[in-house]
Amino acid sequence: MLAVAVRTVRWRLVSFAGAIVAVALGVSLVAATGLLMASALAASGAGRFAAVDAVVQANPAITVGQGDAAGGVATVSPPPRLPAGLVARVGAVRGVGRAVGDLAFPAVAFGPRGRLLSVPGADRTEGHGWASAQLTPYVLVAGRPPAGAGEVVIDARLARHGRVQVGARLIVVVPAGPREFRVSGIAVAQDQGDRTQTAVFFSDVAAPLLARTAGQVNAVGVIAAPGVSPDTLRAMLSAGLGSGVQVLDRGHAAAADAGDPWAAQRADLLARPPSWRSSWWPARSRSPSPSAAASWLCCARSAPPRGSCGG
Amino acid sequence: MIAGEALVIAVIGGAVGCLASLPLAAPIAGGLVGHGAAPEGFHASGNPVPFAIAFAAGLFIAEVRQ
Repeated sequence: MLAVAVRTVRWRLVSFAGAIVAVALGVSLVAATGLLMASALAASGAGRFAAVDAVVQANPAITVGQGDAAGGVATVSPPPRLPAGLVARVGAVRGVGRAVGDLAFPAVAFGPRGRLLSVPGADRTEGHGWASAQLTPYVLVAGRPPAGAGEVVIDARLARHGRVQVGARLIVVVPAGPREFRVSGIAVAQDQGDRTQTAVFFSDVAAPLLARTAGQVNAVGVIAAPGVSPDTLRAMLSAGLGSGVQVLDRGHAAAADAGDPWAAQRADLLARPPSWRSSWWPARSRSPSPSAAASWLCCARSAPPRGSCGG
Repeated sequence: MIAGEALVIAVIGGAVGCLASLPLAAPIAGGLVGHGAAPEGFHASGNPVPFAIAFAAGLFIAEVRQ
């Protein structure tokens, strides 16, 4: 039967080709929009926290209003920081192997001759404490961890593109201002982590001071004790820490990365595109409202104004 | 016979359409980011589910249309 169809096709080649083109266009349109929707709905992934089993962040949901006037729940992004004391509390929960307080703050590094260190494909450099390195994990390939406030370990990609060696001196601009640092080591994240950001690691003592977030962490990365499954770990963390925090699994860990400002936004991309209202729709204050325009027309056409005018 | 021909059309058209959709989705994602409708860094990533849905839709329409 198929053979007959193929044989007769030769006489109707144009309509046959036309049908294929029509189906191809239709399918590509459906698939393309479906891909966009799937990308928007997809979980943020692990991002920089590729080595964690769970991440604890502050609960980003805030109830607006109070009592009878409670108007709903707003989700703040990025979520507020956590007190550094929580790291020890997380570490004390059963099933937790290691709990690491993570900080991420903008750190712009300039090389020996004042040249900006950057990597193609990465749009930002984030500063962290050295303890955060194990959350990706970043592994030292040269030198040693940063000791003291004047030393940094830099991402191997930054070192390669900026031709920076161990022992070089860099100027790094952090929230506390521009500072000079000596490169004590170079660390690499082997095929792990978020390729769109690069990292500069400061000593764990210096990082909160440079970030101006002393006594606070952005999130707590948790690595499970041997033999504890990630699901069990998350259940124990949720039970042990209460409702002030949110426990994310590895598939959503990037949402807790303060150095990934887009990960959290991706979640409610479809629900509430934030800038449509401001840029595409005219603001109500700038244009006369429909009812005001109608009442003006009504009054202009029929003087004296009737009682129903403007209603 | 017509059903067989529709099947050929749907399979070829569906395959071509699925292949064409990824390059098509990328500029749409870029446009969404450009207009501020999607956050910076949003991009279309490969996912088999939309391909399967679109392919099945193509098949269904081709078979019903004949």
